[in-house]
Amino acid sequence: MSIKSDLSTEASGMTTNVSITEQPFQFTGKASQYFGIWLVNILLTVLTLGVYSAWAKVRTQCFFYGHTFFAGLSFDYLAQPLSILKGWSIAAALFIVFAIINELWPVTVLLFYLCLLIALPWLMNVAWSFRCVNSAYRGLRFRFRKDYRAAAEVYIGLPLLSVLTLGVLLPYMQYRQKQFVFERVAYGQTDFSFTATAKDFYRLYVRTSLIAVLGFLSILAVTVLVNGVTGLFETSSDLAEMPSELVWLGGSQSALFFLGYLCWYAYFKSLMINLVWQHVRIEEHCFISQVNWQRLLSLYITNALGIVLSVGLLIPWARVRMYRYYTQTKRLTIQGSLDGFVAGQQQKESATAQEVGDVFDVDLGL
Amino acid sequence: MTEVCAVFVDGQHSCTQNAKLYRLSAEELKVCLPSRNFTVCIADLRVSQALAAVKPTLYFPDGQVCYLESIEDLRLLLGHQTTGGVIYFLENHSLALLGVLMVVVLLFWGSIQYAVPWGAKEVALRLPDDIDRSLGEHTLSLLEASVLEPSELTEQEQTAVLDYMETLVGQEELEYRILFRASKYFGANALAIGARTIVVTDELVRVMASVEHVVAVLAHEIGHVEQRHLLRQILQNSISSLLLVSLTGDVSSLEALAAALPTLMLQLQYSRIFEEEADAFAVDWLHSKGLSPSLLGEALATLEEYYGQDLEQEGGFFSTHPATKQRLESLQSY
Repeated sequence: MSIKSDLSTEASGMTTNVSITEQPFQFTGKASQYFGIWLVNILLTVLTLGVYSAWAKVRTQCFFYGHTFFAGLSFDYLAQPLSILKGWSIAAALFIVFAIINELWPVTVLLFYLCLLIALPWLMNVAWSFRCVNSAYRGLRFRFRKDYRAAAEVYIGLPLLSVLTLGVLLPYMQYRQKQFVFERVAYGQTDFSFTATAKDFYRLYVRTSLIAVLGFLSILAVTVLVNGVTGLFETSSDLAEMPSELVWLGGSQSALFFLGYLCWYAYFKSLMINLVWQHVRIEEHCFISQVNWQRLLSLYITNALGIVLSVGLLIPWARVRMYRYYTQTKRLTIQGSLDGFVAGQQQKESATAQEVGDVFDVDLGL
Repeated sequence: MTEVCAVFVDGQHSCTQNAKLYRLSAEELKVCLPSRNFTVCIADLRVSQALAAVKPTLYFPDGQVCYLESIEDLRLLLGHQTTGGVIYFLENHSLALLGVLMVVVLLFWGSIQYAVPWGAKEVALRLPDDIDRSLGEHTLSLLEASVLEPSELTEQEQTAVLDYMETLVGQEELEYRILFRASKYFGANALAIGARTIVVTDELVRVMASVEHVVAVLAHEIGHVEQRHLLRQILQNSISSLLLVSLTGDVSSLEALAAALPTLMLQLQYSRIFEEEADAFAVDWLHSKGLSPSLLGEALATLEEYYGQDLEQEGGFFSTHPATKQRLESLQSY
């Protein structure tokens, strides 16, 4: 399964004996298999009035993790449905309390929002931690080092500042949020690192904004030209009085703008994913991400069409295709081997850690 | 003794070893690694969930993990314990899945068609009047700030309608608040906005052939008020969109957009049903007041003429009201 590009350092004349190999991530699941899981999940969730959704989440995650292969082995999803159910019950209870407070004492709602704001950094930490601790590979769990202050900075402080600066700080905020996550994730005892700089994010934003402006202007130019010829401007703005061909023309022009936006979004998204993952490292092993924007765009369009035309029955197909594409476009360049990782501390007390963790590391569905 | 090959990790290090597993007895498994052999109690093992084509995994009590190649290997080792249960069966047999699909479709269709409207009705009729009142006042102030202007009708034109209503309802106090407003936006129209309030536009009074016809339109709006259509519509729309969103879940934004279309069509269908209910109510009401139910049909015909043939011509999936032709036909059947 491994693609061994024997780019060992001997070729470049150096004598260290470290071989470099590239390992792809692969997804072996099929849409037809996920369809069954998805449909039964819906049935049981509806019949149990939502309670089954925790089990449904675990089954779905186990399916996607279990079919995601790297270097011959798949990933493990280890969360227990009951701890997910607990988290969701807490969230639901809080929501009901909020609704009641809102009804009885509308003024105190502000206080409630304030509490929510204060809790937000904690929630982000807990959610990331839950996700990492319950993901494992080769028998070692991932971990997340919680940090309330840093989370408050990147999820509350920087968004506020970027609004106040009219978006000038937006790329910087994005950069810090990605950095916050990747620098706190660890595989066993080994931390991931994030080597991108704020400059990379600014470069991406400048490039995509320029393309957005140019694209918008060129579509606008085409529309004005076409309207000048057909005289769309002269007719009254009353829809009922417009000849139907002009209505179609107007409609197709809005569709053109929407398509333009979609192209731009696929372009932006692919650049962003690639930028982030190209700068993720674990020890000396680097990730490679090669998401192609045309491919992403065609996935968006065909998925949406499939879902509409099948009245929703192709939702599993759309999800599998999306997930498979994101997985297949990632690789890891391995320097040496992957055998040297060691379990983190909590691994030893896995039984108790699980229970203690269950109390705090609840899944809040973020 | 059957031998099963697997990949073994010790839970402390990321290096993998090839292992051979044997079933020793009813209670124990033997694990043979290149460096050492050991036995493990089957009762202490945790087996990963049976899922479509996912390779089974054995979790040992002290963190070691064994990755098996196939579900057959698992059966060889553990025997019948590993069938996966009812859920696995449903997920993986196309015939069973077809049954599940039919039940899901029936459940959704039934709840959207019957359970949600029924529940909304029961709740709306039980809600205290306060809620209806504050809803109505809120709507009125919103409309007055945007599309409603003070009426330009003369005192006589207004009292003609109000007096006629009072003679119809008899001695009892007029329970409905009827407000006259000018509105370019609504044209000739009447709106039940909650708080037992009906807004009548100047245009409507002007285009109708007689006061009786205005009252026939009012009867239709009284139908909306009496049956609490506004509250029911709000309840139905929010519950049904919640249901549909739960189906699509966390699909990406473009695909969620695809789900917005059926939601809209559903809400329009609810709206058309309410119009039919209000028409039926109006016919009964006119009848009980000794007026001819055909007044409503004539009023609708006048409105259709006023709006021109283009609007509401087709009816069908994308309009809030049934086609006038359809409404006239069903009015005749009463």
